[in-house]
Amino acid sequence: MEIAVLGLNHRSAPVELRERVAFQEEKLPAALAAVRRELDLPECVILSTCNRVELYTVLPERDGHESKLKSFLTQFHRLEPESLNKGLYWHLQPDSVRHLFRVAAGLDSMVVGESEILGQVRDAYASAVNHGSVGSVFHRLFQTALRAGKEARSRTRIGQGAVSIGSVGVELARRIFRDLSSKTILVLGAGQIAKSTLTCLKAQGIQKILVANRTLETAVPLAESVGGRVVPFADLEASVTQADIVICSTSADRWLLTRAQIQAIMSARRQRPLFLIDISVPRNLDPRIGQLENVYLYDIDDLEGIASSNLQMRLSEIEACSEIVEREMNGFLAKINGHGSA
Amino acid sequence: MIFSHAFIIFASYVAFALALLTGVLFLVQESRLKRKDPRVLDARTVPLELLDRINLYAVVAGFTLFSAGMLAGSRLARLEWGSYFSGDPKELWSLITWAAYAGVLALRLSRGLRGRRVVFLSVMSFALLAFTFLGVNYLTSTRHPFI
Repeated sequence: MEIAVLGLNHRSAPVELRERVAFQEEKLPAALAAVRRELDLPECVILSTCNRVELYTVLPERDGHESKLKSFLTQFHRLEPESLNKGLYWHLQPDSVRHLFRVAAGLDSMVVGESEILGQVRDAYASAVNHGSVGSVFHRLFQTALRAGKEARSRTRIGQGAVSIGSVGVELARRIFRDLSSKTILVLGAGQIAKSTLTCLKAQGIQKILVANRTLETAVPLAESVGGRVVPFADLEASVTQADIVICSTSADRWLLTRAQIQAIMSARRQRPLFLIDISVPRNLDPRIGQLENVYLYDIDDLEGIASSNLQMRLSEIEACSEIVEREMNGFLAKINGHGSA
Repeated sequence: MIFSHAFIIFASYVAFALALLTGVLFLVQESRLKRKDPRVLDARTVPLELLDRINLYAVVAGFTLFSAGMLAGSRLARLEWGSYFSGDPKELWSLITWAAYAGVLALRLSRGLRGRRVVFLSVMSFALLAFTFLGVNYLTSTRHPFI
């Protein structure tokens, strides 16, 4: 018996290839059934996310299965056989087990330590269980992997600290405001980072979203996509007075808001705290605004600075995290080997 | 009666101590946010808005209790010592402390101020309170042996 993994990820293959090999959710049952019947492999889990596609299988012996599984992939996705020559990796024990544990711990992720992958591994396992592709080996393997992934995150700081502009914005907002869901957010401009920051904040339950843009054609679709309301760009001060968080990502060639304007706005809002995120380059909010009391102004460099220092912190945890993975892996291998000989 | 006076005053000290604690936490976190210190994102931080709110409520509670305690004290003084106010250092410094917290509340409630400066004043007022509580007993001669 041999646990094997065939796959590709964000490091081994470009996105054009990854998206062609990805398994849509509705095709998963057919794929699992095909592996079971056509390849005669009773245990199989398919992990398919935007950054990786991996087929975990239990083989009766070490040799002779790599090419079969590769041709299964190409046939299932109707690809040219040679298109997968580069980009695929193939691991047998113990590397296959180590690989899964590292994936679950977030060590193999594009953003080290991100937590989404643990849920994706859990979903992949659950879906294989539902379709009858998991036996005693994979029950034990995936449960151990999920536990190791959880332990790696709780025992080390691999998953801590916001590492993207949007999540740093959210974390800062949570240090200022008590209850984000009752706050109002104003978006000036419609840049990509503004959108992703807005999405992160919206995930915190923010209901009231105001969108202002110089051109109405850009503002309307953005407002519709996030369930917000378009407000006139000309009357910026009135909108800022209502808002608690302002995301600014315009391409104006002057300050959109000056210190004096914000000062007036602050007394109109009776000094309720105001969080301003200026991700425009060049900056569109007068940096002297940040000197005002109860006003917190962060520009793109501030946010990136925090994100990168958090990423450094996560990177420094890789070693400790790997130790947990190795320990769990050795424990698992010892168990199944003992089980096999018994 | 002397116990209710002492008890109410002591309860006000507890409320003011809570205002001090939240005030200091507010000032540290506020300054980290302003300086863009990454430590602001440490796991165990309470939102500024909440610290500010607790600070306000604690000052309101402390001030109410302190006022009631002083009233009880002055009535007690009238009965025991013959006059409502006799210029005892404890009484004098209590009045100063009371005025300081009254100022903090006036700024907060009537002028709508909030944030760093008023929180700072509430923290500073606690220094006066600490002197009224302890300093007076050590440095002056007072007819208040304990509180």
